[in-house]
Amino acid sequence: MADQLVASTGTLASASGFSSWMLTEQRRVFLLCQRMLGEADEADSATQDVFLKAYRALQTQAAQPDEPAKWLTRIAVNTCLDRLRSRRWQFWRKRPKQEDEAIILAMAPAISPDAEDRVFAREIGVRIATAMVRLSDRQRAVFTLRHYEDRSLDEIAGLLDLDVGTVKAHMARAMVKMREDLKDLYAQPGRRAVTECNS
Amino acid sequence: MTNPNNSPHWNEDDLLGRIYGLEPSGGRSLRHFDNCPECAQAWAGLARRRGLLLNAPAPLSDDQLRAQRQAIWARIEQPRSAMLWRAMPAAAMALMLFAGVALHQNPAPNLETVELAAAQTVSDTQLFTELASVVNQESPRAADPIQGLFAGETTGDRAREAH
Repeated sequence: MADQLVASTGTLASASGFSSWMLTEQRRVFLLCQRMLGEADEADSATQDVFLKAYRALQTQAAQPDEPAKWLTRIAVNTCLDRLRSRRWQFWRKRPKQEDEAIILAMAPAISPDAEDRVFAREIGVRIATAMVRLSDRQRAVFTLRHYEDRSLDEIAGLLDLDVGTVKAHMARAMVKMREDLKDLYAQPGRRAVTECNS
Repeated sequence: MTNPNNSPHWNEDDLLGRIYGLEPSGGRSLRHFDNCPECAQAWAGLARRRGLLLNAPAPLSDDQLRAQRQAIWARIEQPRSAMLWRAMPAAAMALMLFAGVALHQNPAPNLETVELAAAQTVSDTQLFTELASVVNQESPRAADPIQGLFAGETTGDRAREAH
């Protein structure tokens, strides 16, 4: 959709084209950064960095990228990975700030209009955000792109410049670490144990 | 008791893995869903819930997004000179580092070495002065009697040469 919009508004390098493109991609990029970094302030700063990098790259490139959305996602993921790497030196940042936790709570998607489901979804959102802290940078990137953006493993491999096998390994390790939270997320009330299935 | 890993039925972990694009363990096949209504139902429920999660809008205020866009444009339109000013602390730090390295490579002379060199200079000068004064003095010296012996001999030699 964003790519179609770009085609209709002209080149991305022009101010109006870039402005329209940013309007369509900003929410997605911010949420991606928020989910990878876990802190609203840092996600805000990272999002600005992403669009700044994209704008400057578009000014210097002869041709605009074939798939702008994918190209922007790659910039966003790399920006977040850089920030996560530099975060290793900041030992005092062990957990998100209180106000950021509130934002994470608010960002947890509501499953249905039902209030009980919304509360449940918020709980799950917070638990996933907390559990993601345990993941390595790569695992977090793979999990975020798969869980929140529903990208295929092939696509994730392309975005991260990794083999599909490596992406699968990262995904499997991430799932081992997050299994309990994910089970809550997808738990089926009334689902019988597998061994009881008689077919 | 049967081992759950040998069962053709999909357990929670395998279903979860399938959601995230991973293959099931124990050689379980997707065709199993055709024959097992319970596993098929579990998978359908999981997929439905996944779809709801993905399609749910994440609340994010428009004001926040607008402020963010303004900040991005402000950074894009920021003049280069401002960026140079922002680089000044880094430049100052680099200069200090360079000066530190330069000083480290040419260390200041040691105080003891300077004092020793000065002392040596003084003592050498003093020695030469004393030697000069000894050589040039006209008063009798301890070596004069010996020189007197040779002086007489020298006079005799000249007289013989005259004959």
